[in-house]
Amino acid sequence: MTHALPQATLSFRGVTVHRDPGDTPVLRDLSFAVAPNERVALLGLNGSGKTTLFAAAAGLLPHEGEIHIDGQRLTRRSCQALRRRMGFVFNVPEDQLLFPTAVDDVAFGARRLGQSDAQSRDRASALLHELGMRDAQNVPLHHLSHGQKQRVALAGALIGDPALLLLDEPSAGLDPPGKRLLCAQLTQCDAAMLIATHDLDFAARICTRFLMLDGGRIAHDTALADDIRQRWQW
Amino acid sequence: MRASVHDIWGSGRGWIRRAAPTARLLCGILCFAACMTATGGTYSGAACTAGTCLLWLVACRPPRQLLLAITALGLALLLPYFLLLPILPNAPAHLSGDWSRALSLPTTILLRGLGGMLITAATASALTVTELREALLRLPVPSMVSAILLQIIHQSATLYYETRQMAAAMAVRGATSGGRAALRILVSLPSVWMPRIIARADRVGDAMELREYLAPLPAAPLSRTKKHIDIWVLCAAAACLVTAIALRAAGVP
Repeated sequence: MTHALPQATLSFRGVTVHRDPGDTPVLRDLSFAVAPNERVALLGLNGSGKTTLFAAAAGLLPHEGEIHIDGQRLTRRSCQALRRRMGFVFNVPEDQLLFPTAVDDVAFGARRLGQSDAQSRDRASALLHELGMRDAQNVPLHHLSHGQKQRVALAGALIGDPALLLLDEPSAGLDPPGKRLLCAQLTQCDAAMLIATHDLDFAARICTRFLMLDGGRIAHDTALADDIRQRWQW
Repeated sequence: MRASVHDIWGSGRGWIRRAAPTARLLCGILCFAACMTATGGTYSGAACTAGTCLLWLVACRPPRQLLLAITALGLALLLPYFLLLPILPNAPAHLSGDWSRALSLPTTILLRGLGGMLITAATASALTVTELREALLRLPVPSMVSAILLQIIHQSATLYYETRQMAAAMAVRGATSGGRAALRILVSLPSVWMPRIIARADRVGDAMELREYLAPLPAAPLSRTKKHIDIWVLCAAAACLVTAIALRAAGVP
């Protein structure tokens, strides 16, 4: 087994991903790494491959090359164990909410880690409270707004204290106070993060590194949001 | 927001909600079985079906609107069977006006159908989806079956609201509403709605895989409280079923 650099929480080495076999690759020979506690923004135009990159990192799409998570190579065999170290937020939160109420959905993550029903619900309740969802915990999910669902999905991702967070447009549909709350929550979190977003101002408040994905490759890797603004007219 | 069919879950205000979710679900199943077992063509069987149904409705106290809607739907679906009377094998025309025999089959269908629908709706009103999940977890139901059942309930609610949004979008873009919008949705079902649903099913499948939704949960003790009310309601529901079986077996008119 090939080992990634020990300090990287997520690393891609020469990764190529096809959406369908025989198609033009969406990601081409992609290489980058995210260090522990590092918060990285992934920027790119629509269709540049951000969501595909996340799907590959979660083991949902086959890839060529090597993906390592917490030093362990992502394979079909290892992906189930590795997923437990990750938290995900999809770009459409409804897709990942599988339970009737917010508290049930978030508590499921804790139950999966072996906590009792009561403990899980207490923890989920506290987390939702922190995310400003105190009054909506037991409301049926289909009655929640998009922003509220986004927060439930985020709570579900955070409850397992993951080493790596993959957030696909987490600020989409959030109002300004919601974005501020999300920023505060994410900056307090110790996990390494890869955040796909179009909102550079939001990314600049959280992230310390910015990757620009273009044509399936990392076209720009910088620590300065202004670099992205100037060079890519973002 | 306007109420939908999915809001029937947990909408009942009957005393049965003091019982544990598992007991409520089992009682609903027993009452349903009693309703289906009782012979609809006899007075005793009809009385047993109606009595079971009435008792369960009183225990669950579903909203009146729901009762009226289910009754109307049931009658609309089941009353047309009476129109088939002339072509039934034991129709009055062939039996020199024996209407009671002729009516026996459609009456049985009506009683069982309407009773079953009302009992199912009342059971749904006595359980929130969370309680249904808890009840299914405690019962020896295969986890795959309960997971799929719960996802059908959960996703159909989401799809319902998505469809309404689609209808609203069509109404705005096509400047139509009401019946015309409904017709447009129907027409566009294969080209617009289905691809969306398929794409959505794919993404939900991904989420289920990532969250290990179908994998058995690590064993953790579920909080369990034994209540006398659970035993009483289960005994009462079982008595209904036993009565229905006994009446049928004895052939009581």
